[in-house]
Amino acid sequence: MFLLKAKRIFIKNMTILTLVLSAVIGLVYHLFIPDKYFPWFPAIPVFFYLFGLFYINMFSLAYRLGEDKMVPLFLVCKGTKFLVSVLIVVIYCFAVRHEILAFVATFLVFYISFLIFETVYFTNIELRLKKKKKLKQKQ
Amino acid sequence: MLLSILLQAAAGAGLGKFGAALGAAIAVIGAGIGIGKIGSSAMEAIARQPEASGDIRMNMIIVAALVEGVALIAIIVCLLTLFL
Repeated sequence: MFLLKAKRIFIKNMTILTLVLSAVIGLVYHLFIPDKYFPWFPAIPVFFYLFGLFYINMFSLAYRLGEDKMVPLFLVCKGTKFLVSVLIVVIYCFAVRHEILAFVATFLVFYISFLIFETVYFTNIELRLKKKKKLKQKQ
Repeated sequence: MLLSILLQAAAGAGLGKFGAALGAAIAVIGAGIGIGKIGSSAMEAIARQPEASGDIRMNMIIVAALVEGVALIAIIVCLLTLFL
């Protein structure tokens, strides 16, 4: 029950964040810097959304394995995301070479926004788990 | 005069790119040391006080996120120096 609710909240909030960020950044490009727009822009939110889904599925797997496995798995997911992100930026810089600055700036904005979102979310989960544990101990 | 010749020679030898790569390497080493220190301190603290493991883990997640963000920014700035 807890897991299902946590998953639903995460997916809902992540969808809202992705849509809002994409709309705001898309609008900025459209209104203020249309010459800097790059065709790969839609791939960035899709990448972060898919990685978010991967995160939450790994989280539910860790929760089923045991609460003590959650933080190590979370850190492994973070490391993987970091490496994949750096790899994507490097590949873009070498292979596409179109509006590198705009791509990197957009990627960074998405990365930091998602990083803050995920950190706040998983910190809240830890807090909730702690409260649950305390309640169990009292009973 | 000599300095300008030296600077021109350095620019020709691609020292700027070397500097960018060195910057990225230093940033990654810093992030690695940072995350390693967080991990080791957290493990030590959990071993000393197992009842506080929840709080320690929570703070560990936050600090790891900060270090990761800084490392990515550093690497990307170095990449930009290399490509722009």
